[in-house]
Amino acid sequence: MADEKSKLGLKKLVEVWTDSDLKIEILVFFHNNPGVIDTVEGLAKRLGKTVDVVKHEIADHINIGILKERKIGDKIVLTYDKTQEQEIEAFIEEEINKKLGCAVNAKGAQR
Amino acid sequence: MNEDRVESGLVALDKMLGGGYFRGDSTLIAGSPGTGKTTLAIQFLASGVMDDEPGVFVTFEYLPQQMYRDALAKGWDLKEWEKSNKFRLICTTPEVLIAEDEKGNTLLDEAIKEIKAKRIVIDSLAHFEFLGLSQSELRGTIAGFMNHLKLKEVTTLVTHEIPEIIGPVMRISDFGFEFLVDNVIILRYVEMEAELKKAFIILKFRGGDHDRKLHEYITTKTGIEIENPFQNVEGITSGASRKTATQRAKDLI
Repeated sequence: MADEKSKLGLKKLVEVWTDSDLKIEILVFFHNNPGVIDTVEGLAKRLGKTVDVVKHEIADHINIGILKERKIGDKIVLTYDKTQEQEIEAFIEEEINKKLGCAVNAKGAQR
Repeated sequence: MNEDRVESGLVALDKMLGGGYFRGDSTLIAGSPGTGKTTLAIQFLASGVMDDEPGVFVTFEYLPQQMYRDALAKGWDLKEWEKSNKFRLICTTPEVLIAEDEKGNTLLDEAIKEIKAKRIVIDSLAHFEFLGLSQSELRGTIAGFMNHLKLKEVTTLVTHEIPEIIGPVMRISDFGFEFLVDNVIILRYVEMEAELKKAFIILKFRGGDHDRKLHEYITTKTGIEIENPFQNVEGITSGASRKTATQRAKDLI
């Protein structure tokens, strides 16, 4: 996962992550509701969207590793990886620091 | 039989139960909407957090963000409990909850193992009705699920909504959930002198003696508080109580 982020680079990572409103909506949803464990169909219902659209939009989140797919019984469920969220925050902080040459935390405050 | 007791989170309820729930037992909390089933369930887990007995809350209904907010308003910081591994909040569907991976583990098994959970809340059983199973299949599924938790020695609270708000008819469920658990607590509205009050009733408590009186309870900013038993009134379980004949006579005099 760390390699995946490095390969993408900060700009690409942010682009991939946020290139649609729904992608952002999904991220915010899981950030606020990290305990949600559901199928794509269930997630689509919770978001009030169609399954196909959600399936398409979560692909990059799965690729980056913030959402994980796992098989349980005959179902594939999605889980949110909070540690990845922290890792990504740290990565963004590091990349910004590299660019600016000063210590900035991921939430934007200069240290 | 396990004689070890588990505190319910309410001193008055522990007293009514003769010391708390039996460890590993399951309790159904049934009540109309707004009677405080979820609050009572979180109080149970809060007590566990204090007693170093981690707990898992499974919700089919509320989104975690709603649970975090509502619980915080009552002084329970669920996010902090999660950070300190004393609590897990799982928001899923019954289908996913009972599904097993190739090693036979469910999501709940994993959460129990992860934080060494001793207490579980399932909110609510009503959602199992949407599994599309026949009555006997559903009862079998829930009975198996409850047995599995009992073998793990986790004390379980399950909530169930009763659609009737008030009135003489009160059916807990069409599927006989009340027969699949060790204990049954009913939370219900009662009309008393043109006022809507709430009654706390222990309908069934397997393996021990319990307080059979009907107590009034209130929901405060910090949770449910059970008060003294109703006195000089009858017909509370019908939803529309009236003063006892003795009380009516006393009033006349």
